[in-house]
Amino acid sequence: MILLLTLFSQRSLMASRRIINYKLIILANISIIWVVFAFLFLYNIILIDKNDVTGRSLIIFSLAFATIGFIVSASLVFYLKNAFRHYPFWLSVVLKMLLTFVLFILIAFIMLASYYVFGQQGTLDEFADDFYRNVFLSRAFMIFMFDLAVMTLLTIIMLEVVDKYGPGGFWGMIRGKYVKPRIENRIFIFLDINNATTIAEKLGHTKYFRLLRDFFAEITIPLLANNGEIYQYVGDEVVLSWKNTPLNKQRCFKFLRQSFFLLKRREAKFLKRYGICPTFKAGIHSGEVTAGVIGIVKKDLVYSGDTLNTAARIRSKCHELEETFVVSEGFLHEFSTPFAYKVNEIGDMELKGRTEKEKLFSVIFE
Amino acid sequence: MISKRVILYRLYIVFSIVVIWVLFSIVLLYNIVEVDKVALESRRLSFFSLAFAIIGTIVVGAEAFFLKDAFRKMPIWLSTILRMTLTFLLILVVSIIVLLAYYLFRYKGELSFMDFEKNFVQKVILTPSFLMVMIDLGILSFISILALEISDKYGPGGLRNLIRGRYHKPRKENRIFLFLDINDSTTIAEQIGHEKYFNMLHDFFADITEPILTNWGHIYQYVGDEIVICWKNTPKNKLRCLKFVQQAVLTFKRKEKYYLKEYGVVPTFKAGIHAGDVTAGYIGIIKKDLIFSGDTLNTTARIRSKCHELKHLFIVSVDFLNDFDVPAKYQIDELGEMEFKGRKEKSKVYSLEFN
Repeated sequence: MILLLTLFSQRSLMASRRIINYKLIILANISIIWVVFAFLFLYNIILIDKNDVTGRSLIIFSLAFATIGFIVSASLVFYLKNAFRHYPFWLSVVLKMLLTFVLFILIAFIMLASYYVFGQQGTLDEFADDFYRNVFLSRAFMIFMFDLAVMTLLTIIMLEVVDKYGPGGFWGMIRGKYVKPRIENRIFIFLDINNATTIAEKLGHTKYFRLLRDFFAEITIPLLANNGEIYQYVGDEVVLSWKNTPLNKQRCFKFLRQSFFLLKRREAKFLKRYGICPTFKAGIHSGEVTAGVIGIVKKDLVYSGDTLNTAARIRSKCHELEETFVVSEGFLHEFSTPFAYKVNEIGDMELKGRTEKEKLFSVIFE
Repeated sequence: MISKRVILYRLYIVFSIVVIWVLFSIVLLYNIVEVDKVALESRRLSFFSLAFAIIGTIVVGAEAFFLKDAFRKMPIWLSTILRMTLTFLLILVVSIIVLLAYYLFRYKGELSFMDFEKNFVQKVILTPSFLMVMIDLGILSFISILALEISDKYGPGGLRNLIRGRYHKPRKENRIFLFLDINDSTTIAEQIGHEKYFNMLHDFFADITEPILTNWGHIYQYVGDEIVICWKNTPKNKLRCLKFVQQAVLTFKRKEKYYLKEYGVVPTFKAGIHAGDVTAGYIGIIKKDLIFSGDTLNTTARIRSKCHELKHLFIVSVDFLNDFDVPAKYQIDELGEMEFKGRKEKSKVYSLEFN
C-alpha cells in the first residue's frame, strides 16, 4: 500500500492535473459500464431465482460491482495500461487479467471480512475459516469471478479502443459530431524531428523507430496538459490541433515551450539509450478547415482544406530559414503575444492559389 | 456488383462478432445455470449457445450487410436506437420461427394456430425469462453495433494485427505504396464550395473502397485529399496494384453520371507508386496508431507530386518494376530520372498507361 502511494505521488508530480482529469473521465465512464452490466447479470439471476435474491440486494450487488469496477479500472488506467506495452496484445491481456484476478480476490476478501466482522460481530479467525469453506469454494463465487473476468476483458479492450480514437474521439464518434462535415476554425502545429534522415541512418531503422516512439510519448504529456489533440502521424511528423481561440493560441505556445524544456530535461535518458537527443521544429498556422468522417472500411476523422497544406509548407520553411518555430500571420492575428515569447518577422511565403503572400514570424523563448 | 472479396471481408466480421455472442451466451447461461441448477439440464448449454449463435448470425449479418450503410449519415446514438428497434423486431420474428419449429417438430403438435398462439403468447412471450433474454439480446446488439464501428476505425485486419501483437515490436517490411490524389482539388473546392467538396471527397473514397478491397489493398492513411494504399511487396501484389488502378479508373467512368449530377464535376486522380523497406510499428500513448516510417514513403509522395510536373496520371518507380514482368495490357514508358531521398544516384521513373 505504501509502495502504491509513493508510486502514485511520484506519478502525479510528473503528470499534470489535466492528465489525471482525462484519466478520471475514462474511469468514470467505464465504471458506469460496470454498473450497467451488474444490472444485466443480476437481472438474469433474479428472474430465474426470485426467492434467493431480495429486491434490496440489487442495490448492494450494483454497488459492489461499481466499487470493484472502479478499483479494477483505476488500476488498469493508472498503472497496468502501459505496464505490458511491449508485449503482444493477447499476452498483455492474459497478464493483466491474472493481476486483476488477484486484485479481485483481495478486494472480495477485505469487503467480506469487514462485513463479517462489523456486521455479524464475528472474529477474524472464524472468518478466515468460514471464508475459505463457504465463500471461496462456493459456486456462486466462481460465477461472480467469471462475470468479473468478462468485465475486465471488456474494460481492457475499451481502454485500447479509446486510445485509438484519442481524447474526445470516441465520444465524438458516439455523438456523431462529424457525421455531417462541418467547417471549423482550427490551429494546426506540424511538428517534426530535426535531421530525421541523418539520425535514422546513424541508428538503423528499428532503433530510430523506437526513438520516434519515445519522442512522441514524451510530448504527449505537455500536449494533454495544454488541451491539444493529436490529429495524425504523417511519417516522422505529427500534426497537432486546437480549436482557434485566443486561450488555445496561448496554450499552443505553452505546449511548444513545455515540450522544448521537457526534452532538455530528458536529454540524459535519450543520450544513454540512443546516443542522441532529438530536437524538433514546428510550423504553426490557423484557419478554416472542413472536418468530417471519411471512409467505409477504414473510417477516420479528416480535416481538409488549404490551411493544412499551408501549415505543412510553413513547417518545411523552418529548415530553409533555419528557425526552430515558425508561425504565420494568420495565427498571430488578434493575438497579443505573452511576454515570455519573442516574435520576429522573418519573411514571407507565397500561398497556393492566392495572390497575396503570408508573412512569417519566428518564435523564441525568453 | 459486390466482389467476392468484399463479401468475404464482411463475413469475416460477422463471424468474429458471432464468437462474442456465443461467449456471452455462455456467461449469461452460466449465471442462470449455477443459481438454478435444477431447472436446467447441462445439455441445454450447447442448445442455448447454438440458439444465440443462430440469432447472432442473423442479427449481425443484417447489420453488416444492410443496416450499417442505411444509417450512415446519422449520429451513431440515433442510428443505434433505430437499428436496435429494427434488430429487436428481427429477433422477435426469428425467435417466433425458431420456437414454432421447435414446437412443431419436438412435440409433434398439430399445426393449429389457435393452439400455438395460446401456448406461445402465454407461455413464452409474456414470461419474465423471455423478457430477460430480450434484454440480453438488446445489449448484445448494442455491443455488436459498437464493435462494427470500431472495426471500421481500425480497418480490415487492423484489429487482428493488434490482438496478435504483430507490430508490438517495430519490424521491417517490404511494401508497395500507392499515393492517390484527386486532380485539381483546390480548383474543384473553390468551384463547388468546401462543404460540397468534402461530400465529394467522401463519395470518392467510398467508391474507391471496392477496388481496394477487391485487390487486397490496405488503406494506410488519409492525408488531406490524398489516400495512401499499401500492399506487401510480392509479384502477385504488384499485379493487384496495377489492376487496382485500372479498376478504380473504370469505377469513376461508370459513376460519371452520378458525380456530374451531384457535383457538376467528375473526379479524376493521379497516383505515384513505389516499393521499398519501411519500419512498421505502433506509436503514441493517447492516440495509438500503426505507422510506417522510412524514406520509401517520402519518395512515394515525391513521385506522386511529379505527376503534376510531368503531366502523367500514373508514375511508377524503377524499384516497383524490379523483378516484375508487366503484362502486355499495361504500357510502361520511361520518363526520366529523379532524385530519391537517402540515395546518391538518381533513379528512373516510368509512366503507366492502359492499352
